[in-house]
Amino acid sequence: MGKVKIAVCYGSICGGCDVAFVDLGEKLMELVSIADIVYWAGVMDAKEEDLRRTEEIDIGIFFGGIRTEKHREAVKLLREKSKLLVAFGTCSCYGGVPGLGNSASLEDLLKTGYLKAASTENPERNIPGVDLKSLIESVPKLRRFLSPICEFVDVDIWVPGCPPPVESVEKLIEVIRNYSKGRSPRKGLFIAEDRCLCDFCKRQKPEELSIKSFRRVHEGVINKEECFLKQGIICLGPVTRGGCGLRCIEANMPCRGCFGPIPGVEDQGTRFLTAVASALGAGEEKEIGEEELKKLIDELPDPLGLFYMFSLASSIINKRYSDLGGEESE
Amino acid sequence: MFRMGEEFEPKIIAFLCRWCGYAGADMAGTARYKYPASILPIRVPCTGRITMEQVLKALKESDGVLIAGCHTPGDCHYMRGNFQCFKRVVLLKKFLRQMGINPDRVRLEWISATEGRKFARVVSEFTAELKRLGPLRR
Repeated sequence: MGKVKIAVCYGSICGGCDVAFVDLGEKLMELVSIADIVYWAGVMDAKEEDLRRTEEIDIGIFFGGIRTEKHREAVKLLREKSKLLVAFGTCSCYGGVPGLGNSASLEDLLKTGYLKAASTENPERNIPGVDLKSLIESVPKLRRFLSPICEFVDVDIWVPGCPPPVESVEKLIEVIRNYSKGRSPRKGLFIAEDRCLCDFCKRQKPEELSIKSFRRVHEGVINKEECFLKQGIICLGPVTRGGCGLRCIEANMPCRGCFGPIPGVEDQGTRFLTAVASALGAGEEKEIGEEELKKLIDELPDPLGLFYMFSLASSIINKRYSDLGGEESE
Repeated sequence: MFRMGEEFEPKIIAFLCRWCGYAGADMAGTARYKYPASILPIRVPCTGRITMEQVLKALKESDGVLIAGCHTPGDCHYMRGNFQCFKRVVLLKKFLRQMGINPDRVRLEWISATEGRKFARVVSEFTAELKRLGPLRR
């Protein structure tokens, strides 16, 4: 088999996934020696039409989640044309940070973006697609919520990470090289570890975890040798896949969960919520009592932002409800 | 499915611990206390065994989730399972509010094996409250 034909399409992206490829440096040239890039808007001049005209490609890589109808069309087109589809980056796999937008209605998101935000200057108070009728035709229609791509298409290879580290991109290129020699990867391959981050973390971990109070990363000095949770700092290591190379941990920052849930865990945030609640005053609940425990839990004002930062769009409750009656706007 | 014009009958999924909540429900039956036929009871070994994923999944399929276990501080058969559940539910309710779901749709009660009357009262109250809130819709 000759060169592998690949194409890269975008959903709702920040550009970080492109940079993850560029981070390879000279190794990126290896990719060019084994693959023909049919379409990749970020690196070459080709139009989507070129992809449409191509009969078939081998490996399609998708960055970002599905926020607009255009994204949905793009991922369907890529799936149609590709023998293997790669979900690249956390947004594509789980919804990622933009998925946090699912905790608000579309109207509230637009109002915040175009009217309320401190940096917004919009004297006519127009909201694209809503007030500027002439733009409705040309602006892709926003969907009410963001979804990971697996909601619409079958995924063959998952590459989580925000962005995926260089090692993951290298492994993906290895997969492409093997494919060019006729060896296909197994279906549902994760370019990540199957064990949780704590299994790879070198910090001292307690036999039994009991948290007496929480603090944020900027409050006080963080011991570099000791488990973050032991120090009362929220770290998603216990529910998150390893394979990231402990980038944050080694920089003395706790895990925020960008590699997604470990196998067997359906909902990363809720599983962590369950786990961290058990660790609160563990073993001494009777002495502490219900009222004091409640106060301790109040030290965590934002479980949504902390526990579901990267996985809200793929969790069990993944879209906003309107069930609060009069107190709707917080 | 609830339609306009019909009276809304809420559906409650109830996780009952086998030592207290479930035994309390049994007692309510034996003593022939009346309560609405709105609950679907699920017997669990301990309220500490219930994961919040299970609660959220139950909530998606119903209008409210009731969890009944042994009284704190000392009644839990497994020492502190009831406290585990208590802490989880308090934290979960914050998340529910952030997602626009009324946290009152998840109700945690301590009901002992002898409190059949309390069980009947809790189910009646909760059903009435959910009737007032209406069906859980997006």
